Amino acid sequence: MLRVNKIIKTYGKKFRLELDNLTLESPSVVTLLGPNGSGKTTFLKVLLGLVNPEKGDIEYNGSDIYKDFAFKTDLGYMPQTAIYPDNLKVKEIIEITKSLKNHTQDYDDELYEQYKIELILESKFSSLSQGTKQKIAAAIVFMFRSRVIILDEPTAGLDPYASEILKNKILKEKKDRLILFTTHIMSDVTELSDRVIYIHEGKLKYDKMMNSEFSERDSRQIASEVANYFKG
Amino acid sequence: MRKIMKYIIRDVARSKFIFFYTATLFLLTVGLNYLNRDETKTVITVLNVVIYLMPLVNILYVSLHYYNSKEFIETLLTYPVKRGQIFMAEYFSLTLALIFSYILGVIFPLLIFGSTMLILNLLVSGILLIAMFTSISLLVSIIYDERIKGIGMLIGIWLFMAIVFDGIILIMYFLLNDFPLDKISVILIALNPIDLTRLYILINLDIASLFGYSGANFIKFFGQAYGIVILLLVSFIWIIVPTLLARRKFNKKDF
Repeated sequence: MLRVNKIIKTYGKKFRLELDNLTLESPSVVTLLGPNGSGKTTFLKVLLGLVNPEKGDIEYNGSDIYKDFAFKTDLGYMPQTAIYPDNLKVKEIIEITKSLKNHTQDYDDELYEQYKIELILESKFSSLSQGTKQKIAAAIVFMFRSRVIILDEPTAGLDPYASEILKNKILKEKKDRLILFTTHIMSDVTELSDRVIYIHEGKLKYDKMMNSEFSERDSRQIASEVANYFKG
Repeated sequence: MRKIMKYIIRDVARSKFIFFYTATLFLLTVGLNYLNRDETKTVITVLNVVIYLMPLVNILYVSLHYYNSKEFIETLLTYPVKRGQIFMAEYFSLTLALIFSYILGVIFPLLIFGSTMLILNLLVSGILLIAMFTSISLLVSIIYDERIKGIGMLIGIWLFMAIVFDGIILIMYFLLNDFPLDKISVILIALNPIDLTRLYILINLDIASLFGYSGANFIKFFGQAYGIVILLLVSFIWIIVPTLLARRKFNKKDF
Protein backbone atom coordinates (compact mmCIF):
# COMPACT_ATOMS: atom_id res chain seq x y z
CA MET A 1 0.00 0.00 0.00
CA LEU A 2 2.74 2.46 1.02
CA ARG A 3 6.04 1.75 -0.67
CA VAL A 4 9.25 3.58 0.26
CA ASN A 5 11.80 3.52 -2.56
CA LYS A 6 15.40 4.30 -1.62
CA ILE A 7 14.80 7.43 0.41
CA ILE A 8 17.79 9.58 1.34
CA LYS A 9 17.59 12.70 3.48
CA THR A 10 20.66 14.42 4.90
CA TYR A 11 20.92 17.13 7.56
CA GLY A 12 24.39 18.61 7.21
CA LYS A 13 27.17 16.17 8.10
CA LYS A 14 25.51 15.02 11.29
CA PHE A 15 22.57 12.94 10.14
CA ARG A 16 21.54 10.89 7.14
CA LEU A 17 18.31 8.95 6.79
CA GLU A 18 18.76 6.14 4.30
CA LEU A 19 16.00 3.63 3.75
CA ASP A 20 16.21 1.25 0.81
CA ASN A 21 12.95 -0.49 0.14
CA LEU A 22 10.16 -0.71 2.63
CA THR A 23 6.54 -1.66 2.06
CA LEU A 24 3.84 -0.94 4.62
CA GLU A 25 0.80 -3.09 3.95
CA SER A 26 -2.79 -2.43 4.89
CA PRO A 27 -4.43 -3.60 7.10
CA SER A 28 -1.80 -3.63 9.81
CA VAL A 29 -0.44 -1.77 12.80
CA VAL A 30 3.22 -0.95 12.34
CA THR A 31 5.34 0.38 15.18
CA LEU A 32 8.33 2.55 14.45
CA LEU A 33 10.95 2.23 17.17
CA GLY A 34 14.33 3.78 17.74
CA PRO A 35 16.27 5.92 20.21
CA ASN A 36 15.99 9.71 20.19
CA GLY A 37 17.68 11.16 17.12
CA SER A 38 17.58 7.84 15.27
CA GLY A 39 15.54 9.21 12.36
CA LYS A 40 11.99 8.19 13.33
CA THR A 41 10.64 11.73 13.19
CA THR A 42 12.47 12.46 9.93
CA PHE A 43 11.00 9.30 8.42
CA LEU A 44 7.51 10.29 9.60
CA LYS A 45 7.99 13.80 8.20
CA VAL A 46 9.09 12.36 4.86
CA LEU A 47 5.94 10.20 4.83
CA LEU A 48 3.78 13.19 5.76
CA GLY A 49 5.30 15.38 3.04
CA LEU A 50 6.76 17.83 5.56
CA VAL A 51 10.33 17.04 4.57
CA ASN A 52 11.50 16.66 0.99
CA PRO A 53 13.94 13.78 0.49
CA GLU A 54 16.99 14.35 -1.69
CA LYS A 55 16.53 11.02 -3.40
CA GLY A 56 13.85 8.39 -3.70
CA ASP A 57 10.10 8.48 -3.60
CA ILE A 58 7.13 7.07 -1.77
CA GLU A 59 4.20 5.45 -3.54
CA TYR A 60 0.70 5.18 -2.20
CA ASN A 61 -1.38 2.67 -4.16
CA GLY A 62 1.04 3.14 -7.06
CA SER A 63 1.02 6.97 -7.11
CA ASP A 64 3.85 9.24 -5.96
CA ILE A 65 2.65 10.88 -2.72
CA TYR A 66 4.49 14.11 -3.57
CA LYS A 67 2.61 14.51 -6.84
CA ASP A 68 -0.80 13.06 -6.05
CA PHE A 69 -3.20 14.43 -3.43
CA ALA A 70 -4.90 11.03 -2.99
CA PHE A 71 -2.56 10.11 -0.15
CA LYS A 72 -3.26 13.27 1.85
CA THR A 73 -6.98 12.77 1.35
CA ASP A 74 -6.62 9.31 2.89
CA LEU A 75 -4.16 10.38 5.60
CA GLY A 76 -4.81 11.09 9.27
CA TYR A 77 -1.98 12.40 11.45
CA MET A 78 -1.76 12.89 15.18
CA PRO A 79 1.32 14.85 16.25
CA GLN A 80 3.24 14.15 19.44
CA THR A 81 2.07 17.50 20.83
CA ALA A 82 -1.25 18.74 19.55
CA ILE A 83 -0.93 22.44 18.73
CA TYR A 84 -3.73 24.51 17.24
CA PRO A 85 -4.24 28.30 17.31
CA ASP A 86 -4.54 29.36 20.97
CA ASN A 87 -7.56 31.59 20.57
CA LEU A 88 -9.75 29.15 18.66
CA LYS A 89 -12.48 27.22 20.41
CA VAL A 90 -12.47 23.43 20.27
CA LYS A 91 -15.56 23.44 18.04
CA GLU A 92 -13.75 25.76 15.57
CA ILE A 93 -10.75 23.44 15.48
CA ILE A 94 -13.02 20.54 14.58
CA GLU A 95 -14.83 22.74 12.02
CA ILE A 96 -11.61 23.79 10.25
CA THR A 97 -10.45 20.16 10.12
CA LYS A 98 -13.75 19.00 8.66
CA SER A 99 -13.80 21.79 6.07
CA LEU A 100 -10.23 21.12 4.92
CA LYS A 101 -10.62 17.36 4.76
CA ASN A 102 -13.59 17.75 2.40
CA HIS A 103 -15.04 14.64 3.99
CA THR A 104 -18.43 13.58 2.78
CA GLN A 105 -18.98 10.33 4.61
CA ASP A 106 -20.31 9.87 8.13
CA TYR A 107 -17.86 10.89 10.78
CA ASP A 108 -16.51 8.38 13.26
CA ASP A 109 -17.43 10.04 16.57
CA GLU A 110 -16.49 7.15 18.85
CA LEU A 111 -13.43 8.81 20.45
CA TYR A 112 -15.21 12.19 20.35
CA GLU A 113 -17.94 10.69 22.52
CA GLN A 114 -15.71 8.58 24.74
CA TYR A 115 -13.47 11.54 25.52
CA LYS A 116 -16.59 13.72 26.04
CA ILE A 117 -15.33 16.39 23.65
CA GLU A 118 -18.83 17.91 23.42
CA LEU A 119 -18.39 19.22 27.00
CA ILE A 120 -15.43 21.38 26.00
CA LEU A 121 -16.55 22.56 22.56
CA GLU A 122 -16.80 26.19 23.73
CA SER A 123 -13.41 26.15 25.53
CA LYS A 124 -10.46 28.03 24.07
CA PHE A 125 -7.68 25.67 23.01
CA SER A 126 -5.12 27.57 25.12
CA SER A 127 -7.16 26.93 28.29
CA LEU A 128 -6.93 23.13 27.99
CA SER A 129 -4.44 20.79 29.63
CA GLN A 130 -1.91 18.97 27.44
CA GLY A 131 -3.74 15.68 27.97
CA THR A 132 -7.05 17.17 26.85
CA LYS A 133 -5.36 18.65 23.77
CA GLN A 134 -4.08 15.15 22.92
CA LYS A 135 -7.58 13.73 23.34
CA ILE A 136 -8.88 16.28 20.82
CA ALA A 137 -6.10 15.36 18.39
CA ALA A 138 -6.89 11.65 18.82
CA ALA A 139 -10.63 12.22 18.30
CA ILE A 140 -9.91 14.24 15.15
CA VAL A 141 -7.49 11.72 13.64
CA PHE A 142 -10.02 8.87 13.80
CA MET A 143 -13.01 11.05 12.86
CA PHE A 144 -12.42 10.85 9.11
CA ARG A 145 -12.02 7.06 8.79
CA SER A 146 -8.67 7.68 7.08
CA ARG A 147 -7.12 4.71 5.27
CA VAL A 148 -3.66 5.58 6.60
CA ILE A 149 -3.22 6.83 10.16
CA ILE A 150 0.10 8.07 11.50
CA LEU A 151 0.43 8.59 15.25
CA ASP A 152 3.52 10.16 16.81
CA GLU A 153 3.82 8.83 20.38
CA PRO A 154 0.02 8.84 20.76
CA THR A 155 -0.22 7.64 24.35
CA ALA A 156 2.64 9.74 25.75
CA GLY A 157 0.53 12.68 27.00
CA LEU A 158 -2.59 10.75 27.94
CA ASP A 159 -3.73 9.52 31.35
CA PRO A 160 -3.98 5.68 31.71
CA TYR A 161 -7.75 5.65 31.13
CA ALA A 162 -7.59 7.84 28.00
CA SER A 163 -4.60 5.83 26.81
CA GLU A 164 -6.57 2.59 27.18
CA ILE A 165 -9.47 4.04 25.17
CA LEU A 166 -7.10 5.04 22.38
CA LYS A 167 -5.38 1.63 22.32
CA ASN A 168 -8.75 -0.12 22.10
CA LYS A 169 -9.64 2.18 19.22
CA ILE A 170 -6.40 1.32 17.40
CA LEU A 171 -7.09 -2.41 17.84
CA LYS A 172 -10.64 -1.97 16.59
CA GLU A 173 -9.69 0.10 13.55
CA LYS A 174 -6.66 -1.89 12.45
CA LYS A 175 -8.84 -4.39 10.60
CA ASP A 176 -9.16 -2.31 7.47
CA ARG A 177 -6.46 0.35 7.54
CA LEU A 178 -2.75 0.98 7.95
CA ILE A 179 -1.83 2.47 11.32
CA LEU A 180 1.77 3.53 11.82
CA PHE A 181 2.87 4.79 15.21
CA THR A 182 6.03 5.66 17.08
CA THR A 183 6.48 4.97 20.77
CA HIS A 184 8.99 4.42 23.52
CA ILE A 185 6.54 2.37 25.56
CA MET A 186 7.29 -1.30 24.94
CA SER A 187 3.96 -2.54 26.32
CA ASP A 188 2.20 -0.55 23.57
CA VAL A 189 4.27 -2.44 21.00
CA THR A 190 3.25 -5.87 22.25
CA GLU A 191 -0.39 -4.87 22.74
CA LEU A 192 -0.93 -3.20 19.39
CA SER A 193 1.64 -4.10 16.77
CA ASP A 194 1.52 -6.48 13.87
CA ARG A 195 4.95 -5.44 12.77
CA VAL A 196 7.92 -3.67 14.33
CA ILE A 197 10.41 -1.53 12.47
CA TYR A 198 13.48 -0.39 14.33
CA ILE A 199 15.55 2.51 13.02
CA HIS A 200 18.95 3.51 14.31
CA GLU A 201 21.28 6.22 12.99
CA GLY A 202 19.00 6.71 10.01
CA LYS A 203 19.06 3.09 8.90
CA LEU A 204 16.60 0.25 9.16
CA LYS A 205 18.00 -2.23 11.70
CA TYR A 206 15.09 -4.50 12.44
CA ASP A 207 11.87 -5.31 10.62
CA LYS A 208 9.79 -8.16 11.94
CA MET A 209 6.19 -9.32 11.88
CA MET A 210 4.72 -9.94 15.32
CA ASN A 211 2.32 -12.70 16.23
CA SER A 212 0.96 -14.07 19.46
CA GLU A 213 3.65 -16.73 19.63
CA PHE A 214 6.56 -14.37 19.24
CA SER A 215 5.31 -11.01 20.40
CA GLU A 216 6.42 -11.22 24.03
CA ARG A 217 9.84 -12.61 23.24
CA ASP A 218 10.43 -10.10 20.46
CA SER A 219 9.43 -7.13 22.56
CA ARG A 220 12.02 -8.13 25.18
CA GLN A 221 14.58 -8.59 22.45
CA ILE A 222 13.84 -5.12 21.02
CA ALA A 223 13.89 -3.54 24.48
CA SER A 224 17.25 -5.07 25.19
CA GLU A 225 18.55 -3.97 21.80
CA VAL A 226 17.44 -0.38 22.47
CA ALA A 227 19.06 -0.51 25.90
CA ASN A 228 22.31 -1.73 24.37
CA TYR A 229 22.31 1.13 21.89
CA PHE A 230 21.79 3.63 24.69
CA LYS A 231 24.69 2.16 26.60
CA GLY A 232 26.78 2.85 23.53
CA MET B 1 -7.40 29.40 1.19
CA ARG B 2 -10.46 31.30 2.42
CA LYS B 3 -11.33 28.48 4.82
CA ILE B 4 -7.91 28.75 6.49
CA MET B 5 -7.99 32.56 6.45
CA LYS B 6 -11.31 32.59 8.25
CA TYR B 7 -9.86 30.76 11.25
CA ILE B 8 -6.49 32.54 11.33
CA ILE B 9 -8.30 35.89 11.33
CA ARG B 10 -10.57 34.70 14.17
CA ASP B 11 -7.51 33.62 16.14
CA VAL B 12 -5.69 36.91 15.53
CA ALA B 13 -8.77 39.07 16.20
CA ARG B 14 -9.17 37.44 19.64
CA SER B 15 -5.53 37.92 20.62
CA LYS B 16 -4.83 40.32 23.47
CA PHE B 17 -1.91 41.78 21.57
CA ILE B 18 -4.07 43.02 18.68
CA PHE B 19 -6.55 44.52 21.16
CA PHE B 20 -3.86 46.45 23.05
CA TYR B 21 -2.09 47.48 19.85
CA THR B 22 -5.31 48.90 18.38
CA ALA B 23 -6.19 50.62 21.66
CA THR B 24 -2.68 52.16 21.86
CA LEU B 25 -2.89 53.48 18.29
CA PHE B 26 -6.35 54.87 19.01
CA LEU B 27 -5.32 56.68 22.20
CA LEU B 28 -2.16 58.00 20.52
CA THR B 29 -4.10 59.37 17.53
CA VAL B 30 -6.79 60.94 19.73
CA GLY B 31 -4.09 62.49 21.92
CA LEU B 32 -2.23 63.93 18.92
CA ASN B 33 -5.49 65.37 17.60
CA TYR B 34 -5.99 67.28 20.83
CA LEU B 35 -2.39 68.51 20.86
CA ASN B 36 -2.38 69.73 17.23
CA ARG B 37 -5.26 71.91 16.14
CA ASP B 38 -4.04 72.03 12.54
CA GLU B 39 -5.07 69.03 10.39
CA THR B 40 -1.85 68.88 8.37
CA LYS B 41 0.31 68.99 11.51
CA THR B 42 -1.74 66.18 13.03
CA VAL B 43 -1.32 64.02 9.94
CA ILE B 44 2.45 64.66 9.88
CA THR B 45 2.77 63.73 13.55
CA VAL B 46 0.65 60.62 13.03
CA LEU B 47 2.79 59.88 9.96
CA ASN B 48 5.90 59.68 12.13
CA VAL B 49 4.21 57.14 14.39
CA VAL B 50 2.96 55.21 11.36
CA ILE B 51 6.22 55.01 9.45
CA TYR B 52 8.58 54.32 12.35
CA LEU B 53 6.60 52.49 15.05
CA MET B 54 4.16 50.50 12.92
CA PRO B 55 6.76 48.57 10.86
CA LEU B 56 8.51 47.48 14.06
CA VAL B 57 5.29 46.20 15.66
CA ASN B 58 4.32 44.71 12.29
CA ILE B 59 7.46 42.64 11.83
CA LEU B 60 7.55 41.47 15.45
CA TYR B 61 3.90 40.41 15.45
CA VAL B 62 4.00 38.66 12.05
CA SER B 63 7.22 36.88 12.90
CA LEU B 64 6.03 35.71 16.34
CA HIS B 65 2.71 34.58 14.87
CA TYR B 66 4.51 32.54 12.22
CA TYR B 67 6.89 30.89 14.71
CA ASN B 68 4.04 30.16 17.15
CA SER B 69 1.94 28.69 14.33
CA LYS B 70 4.62 26.39 12.93
CA GLU B 71 3.21 23.22 14.50
CA PHE B 72 -0.28 24.16 13.33
CA ILE B 73 1.09 24.82 9.85
CA GLU B 74 2.72 21.36 9.95
CA THR B 75 -0.66 19.83 10.78
CA LEU B 76 -2.29 21.78 7.92
CA LEU B 77 0.40 20.48 5.56
CA THR B 78 -0.79 16.93 6.20
CA TYR B 79 -4.28 17.88 4.94
CA PRO B 80 -5.15 17.86 1.23
CA VAL B 81 -4.30 21.55 0.86
CA LYS B 82 -1.59 23.03 -1.36
CA ARG B 83 1.39 24.56 0.43
CA GLY B 84 1.03 27.82 -1.51
CA GLN B 85 -2.54 28.21 -0.29
CA ILE B 86 -1.50 27.79 3.34
CA PHE B 87 1.21 30.42 2.91
CA MET B 88 -1.09 32.90 1.17
CA ALA B 89 -3.76 32.35 3.84
CA GLU B 90 -1.20 33.22 6.53
CA TYR B 91 -0.03 36.29 4.57
CA PHE B 92 -3.47 37.70 3.80
CA SER B 93 -4.89 36.96 7.26
CA LEU B 94 -2.07 38.75 9.07
CA THR B 95 -2.08 41.66 6.62
CA LEU B 96 -5.85 42.10 6.87
CA ALA B 97 -5.83 41.87 10.67
CA LEU B 98 -3.11 44.53 10.94
CA ILE B 99 -4.86 46.76 8.39
CA PHE B 100 -8.09 46.46 10.35
CA SER B 101 -6.23 47.35 13.53
CA TYR B 102 -4.67 50.37 11.78
CA ILE B 103 -8.03 51.56 10.44
CA LEU B 104 -9.65 51.28 13.87
CA GLY B 105 -6.70 52.75 15.73
CA VAL B 106 -5.57 55.55 13.39
CA ILE B 107 -7.95 56.25 10.51
CA PHE B 108 -11.21 56.02 12.46
CA PRO B 109 -10.27 58.60 15.16
CA LEU B 110 -8.89 60.96 12.48
CA LEU B 111 -12.20 60.71 10.64
CA ILE B 112 -14.07 61.52 13.84
CA PHE B 113 -12.01 64.69 14.08
CA GLY B 114 -13.10 65.66 10.58
CA SER B 115 -10.07 65.04 8.37
CA THR B 116 -10.88 64.00 4.81
CA MET B 117 -8.47 63.96 1.86
CA LEU B 118 -5.33 63.65 3.93
CA ILE B 119 -6.80 60.61 5.64
CA LEU B 120 -7.13 58.80 2.32
CA ASN B 121 -3.39 59.27 1.73
CA LEU B 122 -2.61 58.07 5.23
CA LEU B 123 -4.88 55.06 4.70
CA VAL B 124 -3.23 54.08 1.39
CA SER B 125 0.29 54.54 2.72
CA GLY B 126 -0.51 52.62 5.93
CA ILE B 127 -1.95 49.69 3.99
CA LEU B 128 1.08 49.61 1.69
CA LEU B 129 3.46 49.77 4.64
CA ILE B 130 1.68 46.91 6.44
CA ALA B 131 1.63 44.76 3.27
CA MET B 132 5.34 45.46 2.61
CA PHE B 133 6.53 44.65 6.12
CA THR B 134 4.30 41.57 6.45
CA SER B 135 5.89 40.11 3.33
CA ILE B 136 9.43 41.00 4.46
CA SER B 137 8.72 39.55 7.90
CA LEU B 138 7.33 36.27 6.56
CA LEU B 139 10.24 35.89 4.15
CA VAL B 140 12.83 36.28 6.93
CA SER B 141 10.88 34.05 9.34
CA ILE B 142 10.63 31.28 6.75
CA ILE B 143 14.34 31.51 5.96
CA TYR B 144 15.41 31.31 9.63
CA ASP B 145 14.08 28.29 11.52
CA GLU B 146 15.37 29.62 14.82
CA ARG B 147 13.07 32.27 16.21
CA ILE B 148 15.87 34.28 17.86
CA LYS B 149 17.82 34.53 14.62
CA GLY B 150 14.72 35.45 12.61
CA ILE B 151 13.50 38.13 15.01
CA GLY B 152 17.05 39.47 15.44
CA MET B 153 17.43 39.77 11.69
CA LEU B 154 14.07 41.55 11.39
CA ILE B 155 14.91 44.05 14.12
CA GLY B 156 18.19 44.67 12.28
CA ILE B 157 16.30 45.28 9.02
CA TRP B 158 13.92 47.70 10.78
CA LEU B 159 16.83 49.58 12.40
CA PHE B 160 18.54 49.83 9.04
CA MET B 161 15.47 51.10 7.22
CA ALA B 162 14.22 53.43 9.95
CA ILE B 163 17.51 54.93 11.18
CA VAL B 164 20.77 53.72 9.60
CA PHE B 165 19.67 54.16 5.98
CA ASP B 166 19.13 57.93 6.33
CA GLY B 167 22.44 58.22 8.15
CA ILE B 168 24.29 56.45 5.34
CA ILE B 169 22.66 58.74 2.76
CA LEU B 170 23.62 61.83 4.75
CA ILE B 171 27.23 60.66 5.06
CA MET B 172 27.28 59.84 1.35
CA TYR B 173 26.05 63.33 0.42
CA PHE B 174 28.57 64.88 2.78
CA LEU B 175 31.53 62.90 1.44
CA LEU B 176 30.57 62.96 -2.23
CA ASN B 177 29.06 66.42 -2.54
CA ASP B 178 31.35 67.23 -5.46
CA PHE B 179 29.73 64.50 -7.55
CA PRO B 180 26.27 64.60 -9.20
CA LEU B 181 24.15 62.44 -6.91
CA ASP B 182 20.71 63.42 -8.19
CA LYS B 183 19.93 60.16 -10.02
CA ILE B 184 21.50 57.98 -7.35
CA SER B 185 19.39 59.63 -4.66
CA VAL B 186 16.25 58.86 -6.67
CA ILE B 187 17.22 55.17 -6.83
CA LEU B 188 18.10 55.11 -3.13
CA ILE B 189 14.55 56.12 -2.18
CA ALA B 190 13.24 52.99 -3.90
CA LEU B 191 15.45 50.83 -1.68
CA ASN B 192 13.70 51.77 1.54
CA PRO B 193 9.95 51.11 2.10
CA ILE B 194 9.87 53.57 5.00
CA ASP B 195 11.26 56.38 2.83
CA LEU B 196 8.80 55.45 0.07
CA THR B 197 5.85 55.80 2.42
CA ARG B 198 7.11 59.02 3.99
CA LEU B 199 7.63 60.61 0.60
CA TYR B 200 4.25 59.39 -0.69
CA ILE B 201 2.42 61.24 2.09
CA LEU B 202 4.60 64.35 1.91
CA ILE B 203 4.09 64.64 -1.86
CA ASN B 204 0.35 64.39 -1.34
CA LEU B 205 0.52 66.99 1.42
CA ASP B 206 2.75 69.09 -0.87
CA ILE B 207 5.19 70.01 1.91
CA ALA B 208 8.43 70.62 0.02
CA SER B 209 10.36 71.62 3.16
CA LEU B 210 10.06 68.08 4.55
CA PHE B 211 11.01 66.25 1.33
CA GLY B 212 14.70 66.16 2.16
CA TYR B 213 17.44 66.09 -0.48
CA SER B 214 16.42 62.72 -1.97
CA GLY B 215 12.73 63.59 -1.97
CA ALA B 216 13.33 66.94 -3.62
CA ASN B 217 15.41 65.27 -6.34
CA PHE B 218 12.73 62.65 -6.77
CA ILE B 219 10.06 65.30 -7.39
CA LYS B 220 12.39 67.24 -9.67
CA PHE B 221 13.04 64.07 -11.66
CA PHE B 222 9.50 62.71 -12.01
CA GLY B 223 7.19 65.61 -11.16
CA GLN B 224 4.42 65.33 -8.58
CA ALA B 225 1.84 63.25 -10.52
CA TYR B 226 4.35 60.78 -12.02
CA GLY B 227 6.18 60.75 -8.71
CA ILE B 228 3.12 59.40 -6.91
CA VAL B 229 2.60 56.72 -9.56
CA ILE B 230 6.26 55.65 -9.38
CA LEU B 231 6.14 55.51 -5.58
CA LEU B 232 3.02 53.32 -5.70
CA LEU B 233 4.59 51.04 -8.31
CA VAL B 234 7.80 50.60 -6.31
CA SER B 235 5.72 49.92 -3.19
CA PHE B 236 3.88 47.15 -5.03
CA ILE B 237 7.22 45.67 -6.06
CA TRP B 238 8.22 45.71 -2.37
CA ILE B 239 5.02 43.78 -1.60
CA ILE B 240 5.06 41.31 -4.48
CA VAL B 241 8.74 40.32 -4.68
CA PRO B 242 9.27 39.34 -1.00
CA THR B 243 5.86 37.61 -0.97
CA LEU B 244 6.71 35.51 -4.02
CA LEU B 245 10.17 34.70 -2.65
CA ALA B 246 8.63 33.72 0.70
CA ARG B 247 6.03 31.52 -0.99
CA ARG B 248 8.70 29.84 -3.09
CA LYS B 249 10.81 29.21 0.01
CA PHE B 250 7.74 27.95 1.91
CA ASN B 251 6.84 25.52 -0.89
CA LYS B 252 10.29 23.91 -0.75
CA LYS B 253 10.85 24.15 2.98
CA ASP B 254 11.54 21.17 5.25
CA PHE B 255 9.38 21.47 8.36
